[in-house]
Amino acid sequence: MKLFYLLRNDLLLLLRDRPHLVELFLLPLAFILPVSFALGKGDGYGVSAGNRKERLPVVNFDQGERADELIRLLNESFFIERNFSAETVKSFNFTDLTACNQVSVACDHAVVQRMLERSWRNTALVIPEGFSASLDTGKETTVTVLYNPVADVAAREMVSGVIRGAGIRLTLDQIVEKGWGQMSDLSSFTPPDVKKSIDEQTSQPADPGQKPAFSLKSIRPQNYTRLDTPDTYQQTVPGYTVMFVFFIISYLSAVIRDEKRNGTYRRLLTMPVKRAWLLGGKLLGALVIGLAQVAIMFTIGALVFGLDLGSDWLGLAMLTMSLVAAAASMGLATSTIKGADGVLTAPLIISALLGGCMFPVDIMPAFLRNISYIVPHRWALLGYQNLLVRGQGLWDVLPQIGVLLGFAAVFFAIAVWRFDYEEA
Amino acid sequence: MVIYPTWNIPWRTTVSALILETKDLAKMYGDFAAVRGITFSIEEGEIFGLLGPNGAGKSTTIAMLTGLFPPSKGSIRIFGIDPLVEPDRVKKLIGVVPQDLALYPTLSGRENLRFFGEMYGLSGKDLRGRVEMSLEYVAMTERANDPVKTYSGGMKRRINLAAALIHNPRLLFLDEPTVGVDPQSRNHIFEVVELLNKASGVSIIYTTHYMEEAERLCRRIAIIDRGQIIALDTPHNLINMLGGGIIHLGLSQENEALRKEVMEIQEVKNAMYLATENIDDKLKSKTILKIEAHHANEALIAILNLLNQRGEPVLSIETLEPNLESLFLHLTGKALRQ
Repeated sequence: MKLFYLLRNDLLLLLRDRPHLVELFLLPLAFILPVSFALGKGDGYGVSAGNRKERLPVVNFDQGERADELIRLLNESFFIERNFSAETVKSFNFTDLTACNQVSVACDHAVVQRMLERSWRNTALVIPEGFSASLDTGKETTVTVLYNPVADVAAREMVSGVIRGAGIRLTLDQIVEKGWGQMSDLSSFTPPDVKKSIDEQTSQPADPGQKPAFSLKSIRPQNYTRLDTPDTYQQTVPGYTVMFVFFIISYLSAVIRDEKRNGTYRRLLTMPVKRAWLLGGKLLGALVIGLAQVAIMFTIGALVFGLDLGSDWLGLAMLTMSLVAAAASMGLATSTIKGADGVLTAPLIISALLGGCMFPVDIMPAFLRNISYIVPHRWALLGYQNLLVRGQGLWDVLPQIGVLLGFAAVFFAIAVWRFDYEEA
Repeated sequence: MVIYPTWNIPWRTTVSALILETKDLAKMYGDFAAVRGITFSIEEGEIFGLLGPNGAGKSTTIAMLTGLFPPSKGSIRIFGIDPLVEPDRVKKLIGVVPQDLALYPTLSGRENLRFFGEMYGLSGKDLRGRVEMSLEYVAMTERANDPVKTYSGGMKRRINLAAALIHNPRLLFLDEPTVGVDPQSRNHIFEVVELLNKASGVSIIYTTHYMEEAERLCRRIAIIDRGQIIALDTPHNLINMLGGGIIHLGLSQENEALRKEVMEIQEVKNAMYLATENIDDKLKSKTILKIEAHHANEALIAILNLLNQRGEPVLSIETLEPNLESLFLHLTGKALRQ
């Protein structure tokens, strides 16, 4: 019962504490509402592959003129990635790839395979050695498309289609080039309208019925996970909610500082209240506040923006509990550092930024994506998006719940170890 | 009347219920001893004063007695219970008015009292009744619904006191309850303390560095300095330790023959030169002969006659009235409020 009274007292104090009330409940709304309205429905952050120029890594074993021509044609539709430098490889954190000590095709091949394994790319093109020579001599040749089998099939087909189209363009160019070579002697006699017609014909998109200069082989690698990207609301609502749930750290530190400064903590220690309850009461208060934050933000997200909260309510509840437990434990631990509560805003914002709360991690550089896993925000947001975006359930988000509970356990242990009951 | 188990305390004069006993109580912070071996006891219904300057160890002693932190050494019994073994049992029987205000400033006086009452296990009608009674006790009913942060310093002190009364304690610790309080509120606190003691039989431990408060309220006083009790008795007996008063004579140099002649004067009880470390900085340029007199005025006339006859120049004369302030100066060589 005393735990309930402690909880009620904390909530009553929060209701009278306007700055914290604003920070915990109004600020997230102040971000969620304008950002969501401004970016609008759909892929407002431009995180979806369909909304950006698709990246197509190319491994060119040929290095001949025809291969270069194919790459040039593909460059019109894709952002071509090749000739990976040591620096780029390092930024991907692929430093273990020994083939990448210098720029080489072998390095490109290794990097591309790794990218596909990590689901960073949907498709990659491999141009075999002798590709140009085969085309020039009219021999049959094959390029390989490596693809991520769990990525969007339509997107993969689109890539394959564009490559086939480029093959047809290459064939036409080759024919026209040969024909033009034969006609070059007569070109000076060609009437301008005929010449213009020939130019128009050669610049037309490839006819899908036309046979390309090469065949396409698709290879399906193993062990892929499906990672759908969130739309504006699926990013903004959980993102800023997670960000401001972690502001509980700042709130708890300040509340405990105030309790000690007001002398009320010292008074409570002279009363028949177990010391563990004093910490437990604060933790319980933070849990209720955090749950209220998530409930309010998600409800507003659902009502105002039609945010689909998924079907696994248990998963959502468990993930939220573990998120709030992590934030509250970190708050208790932080309260043991003197003067910490005054300097928490910057670390909290940076952590939220790194954890993908303010914009999606998918549009961050690879090295930032990798280190984003050190902040709990990343795990919480990943969990929410797995539930809300990818239709996953409790079982699927257990890793995220586990990591958040791990954060909670470690920081609670630090709090219990460091909490100075005699300090006042 | 319940007789609680007691230890043999040397200055106990009557056999009655000892509700608090400490034995060799000490608190160390690393090498620093904040409290070193304090032993005393309190009888039921008594107002007991701990008098000493700031930093003497009064608040540390109270903190150990009220369960804020355990002693480094020694033992405590409150109502015969060891608070280290059964802290909650003891905490239900005691009330604590801490030296600093201990209230939630954004909550009203009534909300503060209700919460603290709940922490003592009160609820429902009982809680409401106790809240109103405590508010009446400190004459704060009218402003009870206002936030504490809007109160004057004295009003905050009164609510601070009420919060310690909410559960009807049998032993009340008041740690410097009148620091920074206006005269009106101070008098009100005195009245409440006296009323609690006389009407309700609440025993009280009262720490202060104001001798007037200790003299007015306390039946017995322990004078505490540098973590030790240096005197413990009734105010009357303590003041009597000074006899008829103390005279400080400023002389140009020590003169043992002169001291012996002063000792021979009938009105003089004792005479000694003060050690340098016991002299205020402003007096360090001269030698101080400290004289304990049976009757200060008569002794001073006789001493001045003697010094005139010997042609000994007197650089300064200071007579100390027999009170707790001068007793403290007499015992420690420094003022109570230093």
